[in-house]
Amino acid sequence: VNPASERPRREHALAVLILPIVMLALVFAGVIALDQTAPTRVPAPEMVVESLPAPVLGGEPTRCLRGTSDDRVPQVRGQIVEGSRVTSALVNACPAAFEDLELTYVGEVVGHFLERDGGGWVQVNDDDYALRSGPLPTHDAFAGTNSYLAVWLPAEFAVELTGFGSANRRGDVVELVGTVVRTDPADGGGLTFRARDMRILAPSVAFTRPIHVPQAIAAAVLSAVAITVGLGLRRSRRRAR
Amino acid sequence: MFIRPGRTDLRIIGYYLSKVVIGLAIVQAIPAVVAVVAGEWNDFSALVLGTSLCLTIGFVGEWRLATRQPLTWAHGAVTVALAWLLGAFLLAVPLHLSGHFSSMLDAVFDTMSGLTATGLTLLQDLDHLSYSMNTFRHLLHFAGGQGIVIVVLSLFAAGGARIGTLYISEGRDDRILPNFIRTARFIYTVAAVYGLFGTAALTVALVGTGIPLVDALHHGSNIFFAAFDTGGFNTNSSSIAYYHSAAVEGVVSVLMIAGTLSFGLHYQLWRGQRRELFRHIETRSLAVTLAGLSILGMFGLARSGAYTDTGGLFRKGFFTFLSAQTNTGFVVTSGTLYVTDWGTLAPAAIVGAMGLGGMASSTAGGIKAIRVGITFKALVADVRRLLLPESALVVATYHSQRRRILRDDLVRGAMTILLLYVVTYLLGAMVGLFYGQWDVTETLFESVSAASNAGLSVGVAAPDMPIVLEVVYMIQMWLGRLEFVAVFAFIGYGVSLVRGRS
Repeated sequence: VNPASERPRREHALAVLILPIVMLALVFAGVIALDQTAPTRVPAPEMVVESLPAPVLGGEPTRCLRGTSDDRVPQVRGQIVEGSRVTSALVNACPAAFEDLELTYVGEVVGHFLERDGGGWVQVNDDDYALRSGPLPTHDAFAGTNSYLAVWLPAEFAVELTGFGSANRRGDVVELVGTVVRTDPADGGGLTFRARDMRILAPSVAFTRPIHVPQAIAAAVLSAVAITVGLGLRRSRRRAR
Repeated sequence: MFIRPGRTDLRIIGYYLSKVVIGLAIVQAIPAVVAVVAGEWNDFSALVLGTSLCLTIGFVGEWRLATRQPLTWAHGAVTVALAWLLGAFLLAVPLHLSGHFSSMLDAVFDTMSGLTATGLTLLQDLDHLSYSMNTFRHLLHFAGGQGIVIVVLSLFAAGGARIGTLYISEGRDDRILPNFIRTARFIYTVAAVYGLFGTAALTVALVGTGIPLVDALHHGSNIFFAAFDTGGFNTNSSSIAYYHSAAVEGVVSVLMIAGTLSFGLHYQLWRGQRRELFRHIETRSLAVTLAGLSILGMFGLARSGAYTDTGGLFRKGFFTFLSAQTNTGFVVTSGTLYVTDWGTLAPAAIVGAMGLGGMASSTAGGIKAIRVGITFKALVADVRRLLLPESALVVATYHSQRRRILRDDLVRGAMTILLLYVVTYLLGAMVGLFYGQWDVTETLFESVSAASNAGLSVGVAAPDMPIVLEVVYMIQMWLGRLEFVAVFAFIGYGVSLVRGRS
């Protein structure tokens, strides 16, 4: 094989490999650029839940690793003051330490109220979207995934709820007083927070996302291109027949 | 020495890829309709943009690369490997524009996870995600779980023999009917029937939990896609735990089991051959490993004191082991609890269950019950050979639709893939350990989850994870779904393009 004659073919092969990568890079660059044409949105001050008491243990989760040699349940439990505010991150990191203690939990009610025996289940999120910045569709301040506790709420409080968090609504932000149940028999052994008192700190509000005009225009233009190319393809097939 | 692929080879691959890309447009067009109904206009424009982009690329490709040349095995393998990669990239466009991903790479991670029916997610604030984007995410499970390439090409291409190479390359080795197109249509018929009854049963169960009918239908159809395709995405952050309902967990369990049965076995059952369910090597292997690991895990849960009553052991423990073994990834507790509250034995059982996985030619991932069964039978045969006189002839058999002889090449193939999975699990765990943020339990858990396409998580796969680890998990998901061979063929093709001889 003549190495000199191999070179152009190799270059052609490299071009074949590089071409789709360049095309994808251009698509991605276009999408990112399009995304950036949307006006920057900052979290609205009214979404921030003010003057919350500091969480117990300084809010720093200590993982207990129960059932191992590094089990820290007694240590953590010894530091918890009953009645203080707890977060879902703290409870999930060491559920046994919080078992059967009466505590306060603050968060946004999301989803649905699932009625059961004189009360019902609700999911209450206490992540940044719930307490600090508001739902992600209202701003661009990414703060990770949702964190939550399953809460059992007596029916008398359920009727006070004005709305649940969803795609176009921020749910009520509530302060709950109740007990952490590590293996709740009413939930098939789930980790729950059984509330006995509730106070609405911020009522539910609906929100809308302004229409992203450049994105709508890009979609319309690209649709026209796709239709044109599709028609062209159809015509060329007919001619070929 | 490799032979460099010629223009014709690249043209064939490009042509079939173009057809797949047109199919990807349909996956985005369906949720666009949901967006119109729900009045979600930004998501509508994002989905239309994604649809149009795929249509344009697909149409241009079809126009310029049209060919009647047949697909060879190499073409099929490369087309499949590329289609899944390209699919993950192109379908990430509307997801990124949803505003719930902090980077384009995170969106690609989710589409790869969705298509490979893994279920790991980097999406942020899921509880405020729109109806249409939720539908889109779950449709990714459906498209990928059923086998996107084979389905698209069975719709758009003629000639069953041509697409047979794609069928095998996409991780399916069970030709149910003589014709591949009829096989693909049978797969979709099974899915449609389960979809109808599964969604109806889930909707009824969800209405029973207190969810309004329209939302129940939305949740029900999405949970069906994720359960039957053993995916694991959900419409809310607490997954199946959200519903606090034994009825929902029961229906989901049935769908997860249905999803993990091979389509070949579904075909036998449809033909009324129920005995096959009890005689098939995969059913037996799956039942034994699931029972063994569940008992081990539940013993671990009881010993650590995590759950001491049967309610907790079954509704939280067994459901999780079932979710792990079927590679679905639905959860009924927070993933953090596996590390902090479940002791050591139960998480190990989950890792084992995820690693072994469901049946071959199903929507499940992992090593697969057939390979576990064959490896076990081969080991037993070897031990018998050692114990019997040298003149004795030991013939091992197994049942898969009929009695078959366990041949050496079959054993070698099963063991090679088994070994590749184990190596992939360990490599992913080692990359995670490199960062020093997690211990080996966590990195092994997450690595096995990604490579087996299970989707259970102890929190390593999160939006703030290191980029290299994110890419490693994406590669693991891709390798795991295609069972290595197609990806290796693709790499070999790439090398021969550059270094091969004409």
